[in-house]
Amino acid sequence: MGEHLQATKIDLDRLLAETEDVSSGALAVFVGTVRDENEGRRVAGVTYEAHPRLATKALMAIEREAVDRFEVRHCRIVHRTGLVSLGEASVVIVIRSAHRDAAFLALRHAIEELKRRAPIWKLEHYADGGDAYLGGVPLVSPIEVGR
Amino acid sequence: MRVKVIYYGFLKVLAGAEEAQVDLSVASASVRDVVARVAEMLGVAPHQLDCAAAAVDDELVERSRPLREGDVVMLLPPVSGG
Repeated sequence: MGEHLQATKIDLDRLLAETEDVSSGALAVFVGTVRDENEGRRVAGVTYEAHPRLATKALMAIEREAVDRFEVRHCRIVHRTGLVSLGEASVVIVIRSAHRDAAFLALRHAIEELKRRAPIWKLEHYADGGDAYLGGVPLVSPIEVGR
Repeated sequence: MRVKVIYYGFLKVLAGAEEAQVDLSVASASVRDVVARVAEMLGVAPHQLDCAAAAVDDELVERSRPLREGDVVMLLPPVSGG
């Protein structure tokens, strides 16, 4: 099993080689890339920060879930950390399964769960200077408000 | 008792630091007590930290989780990976 977080460019070919499987008739890949605009501001790049151990645990759990729940044969998720340039991949998800339906469902599940559960934060850097952490999704953790 | 708090995401900016020592004038405390103390230190209302999850020993924990002297509490604001 390879790394789930890395500070260097994600190598899609390596992930494809790692999951190569002739019994899979479907290969689905999601690549999230850094966009040059967000809410009207020109973006120059994004720094991704993660809690390494918790984020790795979350990504591994999502991979296992994809395999168990959708009966795909392989799910691999790699997320970038550090400064990611415009157009560069921030996250890559590779699914291999016998048939396409399961591959598409598992792929969608994996990216949505990652956005909800992985302790990763996006610090946007703007072309006109300055930067800001983006608002996000509260981690699923009981906070017992009002108790 | 004293615990260490580590900030992530925008909380680092709010705190102007990556971590802080938090002193609590009680013998036993929970994560909730630490979050309340952190809110005081940061000058925000405690409910403004409701969006932050807490982790101890690499596990997400409830606010009622008891703490021991020297524990490390990580405060994890809403996430935005992808």
